Amino acid sequence: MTYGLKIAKPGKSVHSTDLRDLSVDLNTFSMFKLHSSSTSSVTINADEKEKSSSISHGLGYVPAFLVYYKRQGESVERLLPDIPYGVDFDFYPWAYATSSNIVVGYSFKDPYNRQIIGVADAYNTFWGDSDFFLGRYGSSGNNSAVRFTGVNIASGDTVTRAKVYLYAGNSGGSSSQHIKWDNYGVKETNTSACNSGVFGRTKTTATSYQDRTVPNLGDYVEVDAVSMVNEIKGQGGWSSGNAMGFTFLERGSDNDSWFSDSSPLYATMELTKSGSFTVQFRVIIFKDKIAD
Amino acid sequence: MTYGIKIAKTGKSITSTDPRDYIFNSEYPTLKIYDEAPASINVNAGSSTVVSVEHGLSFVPMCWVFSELSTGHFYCGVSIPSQADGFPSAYVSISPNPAETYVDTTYLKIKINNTTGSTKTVKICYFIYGDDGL
Repeated sequence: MTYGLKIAKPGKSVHSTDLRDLSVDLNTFSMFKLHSSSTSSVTINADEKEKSSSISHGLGYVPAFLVYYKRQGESVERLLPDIPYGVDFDFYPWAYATSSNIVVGYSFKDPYNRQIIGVADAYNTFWGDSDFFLGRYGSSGNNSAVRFTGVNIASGDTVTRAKVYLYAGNSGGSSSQHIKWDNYGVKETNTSACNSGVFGRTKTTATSYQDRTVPNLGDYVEVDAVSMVNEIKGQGGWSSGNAMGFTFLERGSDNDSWFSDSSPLYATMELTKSGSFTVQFRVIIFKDKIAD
Repeated sequence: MTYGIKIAKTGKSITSTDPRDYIFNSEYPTLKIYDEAPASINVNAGSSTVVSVEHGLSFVPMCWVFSELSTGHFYCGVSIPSQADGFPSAYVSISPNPAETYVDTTYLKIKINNTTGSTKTVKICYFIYGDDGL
């Protein structure tokens, strides 16, 4: 004889063959057994893509678990997995169990608070057109400028990282020769397209001198522009989404040492503003084993 | 008269109307584990495999699936692994496409994708409940 416990739902019979009629059937079906419930959180800082947190369960095997999460700025709890389908994975939560921990985390596709902006236009004094050309052709020094539109930073934001990447679609000179120049920002709150007049626009006080060897074709030449960006957006009148320009003035390069970028231009600017994003997790762990 | 069983937590009353005060209360139906099984599935490099479980119930049951998307790391449901576990460059995942991973009145279907360059043996563990999932 089999002993056990069956409780039917109101109006249903314990002899029913439909499992759904039973509130409990301990003769045949086991139930999940709660082990623990706890909370945790992860904070993703600017320029980070992924963070995790571990909760020890002490069971010695891999247990079943449930995780809820709540994103910063939201009041709703969401249940994992929460995977978007048919859209990009710009950000997503995740959780997994091991034989010792439940690990919860959150991922961003791109570093948090970083934006990458493609160049809008350029100008160079060598050809006098909208390509980029920096360095000396023969002994003649040549300057260039680039402009980025749609710069999404507010005047109150703190920019912690700003890099302008100049693309070497072509170059001249050996890799031991040097190209040298001064970097400036164009100190205007929404500078217009680059043209021959761009070098006459007010320059930022922030500047830097750069000395590097002739790049290989396909290389990106990195210019640190954080102080220039903060000076430009710190002016009264700056609005998020405005345009930002930079000039590069040749000074002291070796002769016949240059690099250039022709249409379509590949220069980019990467900006990171300070800030962080916190995700709270609730982790419910069961004693039921899913693997050794 | 209604019959049933209640077991209150220590310090709580069996007359409480707060469900959280109970270890067990037959007024609140419990999930009944109808079937559970571990399995190991080989998924070729750059390929997919569909796990098909015929559950034998006449209704769409509630289900729960765990899968080892990286060695020793068991994710829940239609998961994408963390970046540390390979996403998005080369990874194993459970398809979130509702036409590929689903349960109906006959089957629980689980599609495992392997975008890595080597064959993976993916451990899964599924639970099928004797309760409506739909």
